[in-house]
Amino acid sequence: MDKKLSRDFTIPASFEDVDRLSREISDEIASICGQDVAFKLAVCITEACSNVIKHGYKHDRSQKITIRIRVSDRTVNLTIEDLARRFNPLDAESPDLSSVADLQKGGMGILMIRKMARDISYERKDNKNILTILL
Amino acid sequence: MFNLREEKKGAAIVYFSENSRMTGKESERFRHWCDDKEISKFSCVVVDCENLEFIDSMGIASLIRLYRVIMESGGKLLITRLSQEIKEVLATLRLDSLLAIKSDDPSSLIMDNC
Repeated sequence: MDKKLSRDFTIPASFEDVDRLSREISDEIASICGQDVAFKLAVCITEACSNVIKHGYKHDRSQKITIRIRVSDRTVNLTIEDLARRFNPLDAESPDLSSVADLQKGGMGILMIRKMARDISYERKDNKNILTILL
Repeated sequence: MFNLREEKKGAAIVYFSENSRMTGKESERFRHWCDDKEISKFSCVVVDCENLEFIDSMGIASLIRLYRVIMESGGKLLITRLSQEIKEVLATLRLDSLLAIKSDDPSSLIMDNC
């Protein structure tokens, strides 16, 4: 399958930097894969990195997150890597969608990724958390 | 980024500046802004999302909080003019059954519902 785009970014672990990257990359992806896929990618980048910032790095902005994006004809492969302590976001319990109180407790981000991804996997390798999302 | 217009007594339209993104810290600012504006004093609030370009889970949590605050004070919350992508996200999370999602002009919604 021909590669159409390959991008690697290493950004500070801050919400502002994640939002900036997700906006910039989704504009580029929209021109290749369409608005729908670009929006899903932006959601997955934002939610996965927010989890790292909150639960992995505990809001330490001096830490870094690496985001790798590979786009083939009909597939976007997104990888998020960080050096925080072991944290598998896939272990998180999904919130009860019928409970407003439960929705506010958390877990909605990973649920959004699960709903949008065709596949999602986690591995711990070389002291890194590596989350791979296929769109 | 957030604005409020009292359309008629007790009824307000909340709207966003152009190309707004409700993510991370911005979601937190929105919650504080709602508190500062004493949003619960309105019996009817329409959130006009025409300029809302993107929202993440923290932004959605802020909307749910707004819904709670208004419901608890006996008011009504309507959300309108969401992009197709955001509508689909809310539907995926089944929030379209919780939140009153419309597509009409906000002033018309105020006239018809408030």
